[in-house]
Amino acid sequence: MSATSPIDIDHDDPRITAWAIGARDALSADEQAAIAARVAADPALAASVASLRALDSRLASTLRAPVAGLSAGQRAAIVRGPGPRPVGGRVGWLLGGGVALAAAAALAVVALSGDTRPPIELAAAEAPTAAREQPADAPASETRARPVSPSAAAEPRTAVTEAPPADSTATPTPDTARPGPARPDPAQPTEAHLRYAEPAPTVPPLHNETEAAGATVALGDAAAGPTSGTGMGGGGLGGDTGSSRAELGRLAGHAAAGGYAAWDNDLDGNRVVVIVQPNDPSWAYYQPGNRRVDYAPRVPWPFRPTAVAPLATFSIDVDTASLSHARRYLRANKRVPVELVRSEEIINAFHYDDARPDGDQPLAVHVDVAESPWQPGNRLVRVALTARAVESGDRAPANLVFLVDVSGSMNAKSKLPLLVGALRRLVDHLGPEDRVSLVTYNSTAKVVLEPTAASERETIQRALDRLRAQGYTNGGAGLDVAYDLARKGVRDGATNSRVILATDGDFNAGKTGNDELQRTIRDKARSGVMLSVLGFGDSGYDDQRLALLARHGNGRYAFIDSLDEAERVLGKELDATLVTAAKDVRVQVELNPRQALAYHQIGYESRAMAAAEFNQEGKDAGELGAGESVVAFYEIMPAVGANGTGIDPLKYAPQAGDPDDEHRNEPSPDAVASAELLTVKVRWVPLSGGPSQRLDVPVVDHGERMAQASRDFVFSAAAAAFAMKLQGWSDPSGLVSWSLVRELALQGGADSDTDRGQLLDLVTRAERIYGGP
Amino acid sequence: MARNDPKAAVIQDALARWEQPLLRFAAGVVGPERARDVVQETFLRLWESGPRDAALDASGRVRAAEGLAPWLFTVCKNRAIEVARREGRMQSHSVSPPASPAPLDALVERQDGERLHAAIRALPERQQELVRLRYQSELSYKEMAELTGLTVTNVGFLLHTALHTLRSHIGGAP
Repeated sequence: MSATSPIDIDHDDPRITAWAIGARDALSADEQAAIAARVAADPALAASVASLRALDSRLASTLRAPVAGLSAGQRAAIVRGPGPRPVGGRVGWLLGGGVALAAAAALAVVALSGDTRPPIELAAAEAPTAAREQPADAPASETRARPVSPSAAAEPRTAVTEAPPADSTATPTPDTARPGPARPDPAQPTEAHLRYAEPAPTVPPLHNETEAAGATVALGDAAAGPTSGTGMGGGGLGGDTGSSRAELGRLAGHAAAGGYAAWDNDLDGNRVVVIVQPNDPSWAYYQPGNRRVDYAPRVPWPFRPTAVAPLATFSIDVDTASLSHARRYLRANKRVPVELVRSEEIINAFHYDDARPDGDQPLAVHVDVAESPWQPGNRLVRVALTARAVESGDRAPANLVFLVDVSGSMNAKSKLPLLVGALRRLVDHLGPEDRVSLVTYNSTAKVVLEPTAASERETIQRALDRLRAQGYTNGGAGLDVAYDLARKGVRDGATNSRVILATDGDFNAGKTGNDELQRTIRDKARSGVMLSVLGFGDSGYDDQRLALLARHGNGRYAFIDSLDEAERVLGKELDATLVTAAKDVRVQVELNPRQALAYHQIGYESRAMAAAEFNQEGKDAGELGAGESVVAFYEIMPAVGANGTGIDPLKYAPQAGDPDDEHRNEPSPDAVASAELLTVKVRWVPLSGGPSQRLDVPVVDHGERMAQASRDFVFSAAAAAFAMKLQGWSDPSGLVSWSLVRELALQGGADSDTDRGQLLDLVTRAERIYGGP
Repeated sequence: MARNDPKAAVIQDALARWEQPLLRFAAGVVGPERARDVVQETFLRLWESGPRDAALDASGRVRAAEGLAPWLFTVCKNRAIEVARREGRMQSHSVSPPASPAPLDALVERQDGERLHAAIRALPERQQELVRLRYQSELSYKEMAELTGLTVTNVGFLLHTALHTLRSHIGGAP
């Protein structure tokens, strides 16, 4: 009733101001709808709202400048709770010595403290379940047999490994038959579960490291206080944490190069070890005895030392919403809020031509290595997963339930009308066998179109045209009705049943808590119904919640800001949206400390998994759609003597093989492993269900330059660099400049391809808004 | 030990969300250096008390988040004022350099930011406070109302007035 009663809004009503500056908590859904209508009808008022919004963003950017945060010590003290205040210590310095590394890498930083969360890799590395995995049989051995010699490196080498047929009995998954934790192979010592682990560790066990680092947190207070810096120089590590000292020393030794290691706080306030090289822009800042003016983070980006954290594990993310958000903000001449920037989504929003697997194989893995375009001397590794495409018309008929938010908040040009247009596009691309139904929700949920063959376009479009937005939002009720309808389809034999939720994410009644919503969706996903999420609108938009829904509903999440984007997601890439190629896809990369001193993973921060979760059956992870590709990057700081550094392998560094091995000249399996830069491991659940499958791809770096890299490599690197810029990584020396991003985009084909061309446009806009190098 | 405490998890969440807004807020009273101590003490107080109605346990996270911001800002404000009084350096409620420029100087201020700061300083105190709470501290209308003791409608009216004044002073140009 209240939904339809007119609300009187004067042109000078404070509620309009609240609405303009996005203070939705002060307004009811009805008020919001009434204001939206009033503003839409009155150009003068619309202009006033626009100028208020401009003022709003100016105030936010002027008054919300980041301030120096609490020190790691202060944060740790807060989380520890009240008690004796930590006693100040001193910042310790350890001078490293040795040969200068020609192509010296910048900074190596590792979160050692785990003040607030234990470093996941460390915990998992100790897990007894991780028995040494033999490389997968057939396909993986093919990759292992790739020439390891650095000759004939005319073009970037690609390690391509294709997955076996999903139902083949010859699957290279030696461990899928294992019911529980893998038993250690008696032939292998249990501690050798890491492929590149050194056999006789001289370093104390890692859990000691974490404890020790916790003890050294007290240092942070002194270092961070107003008089910081004066106590520097020559000091030990305070608290006399022997094992930390050992580890720091070892890292400094690895860095060699006349560099040194120091403690600092990273962007998240974690205690980190920093390794600095003489040609590093931060050299002076980290010089012992140098006074620190403040302690704002100045670490370009956190590199993790391979020796401490050799495993990077994550779930794939096929969402593309982040690029749409960036486009929306940049076109409105605004900075993109950092929490909306997810580099993997920006990279994956573009199409890449990496070969899709042939025949029955569900996915393929491609790994390329080239020089880092922004830090010569570093290596950039591109890992691409591609999924089998479906032939047109080959797709199993889909049973789609559109679940449309018609609450008052959807009453805006960028919402309901665009949504209707987008769903029309989708219907246009459906085949005659597909079925569509339509459920709407506001205060209540109702079925407005029973399952209807997609060929009955007029009936469907009439139903879409009748949609009107009003009332409150009860998303929970809508989900219940839509899932019921989709499940009915499953019972009637549809193999591809999917709810497509279209909303601005404003669930302001019903099941509102994220935890509860997540539980509900997970329960519903067990029925085999997938959930895809389309986000709309530019105010009051709840990005996190929609991403969460899609992730737990086993679907993808796209943000529709225009009909072009609708056409891309629901037209060109409809198969990827409607057909799943592999479920619960996760990736684990193990880096070889003999080749990689430290590394930095680009993207997938919100999808990080614990190392042990990689092998756990039933672990939820991302779904890969048909014909889809996902890309991850690793920037690697090579170790002294690594391939391609032009320095001989170190004679005295710990060897991967037995140090007393008299047959050192004969290449042993371990020696082969030690020439490898890293191994990419992918695990997924076949669509037909059953145990997960796994694929290992060992990779050797042959020292390719950027000029030799493929177009896809260069363009995706441009997208990665663009995301890093938007994330505001501090980059004092301007290594990642706007002009570099532009140049990479052009080299990657931005001038000849309209899809890629939009990156160029966004870079130009961003440069104007953000400024700087 | 404290690490596994659910309360520690709530406090960690609060820290992640409110550290920067609180630091900006406290810096306006005691300057950036002392602000860090004030904010640390504020968060430590969470261990002992916390908002009255908020159950600080893992299951109560969502509920805790609601009353949390006003509580944190109230504690932080009181603590900051206490520190400032004790050290005898109560300043204007401002993060920018507190010196108010002479009118002639104001004309030559070329930095947009400075002009905006000046325009904010010219607002009545209550409106100034709300602008700062909204933009420096990222509070919602409800949170501002709870913190200041005003009604949500009053907050809305005062902010509305403040923003319209600011707009007329500096123009709506982006």
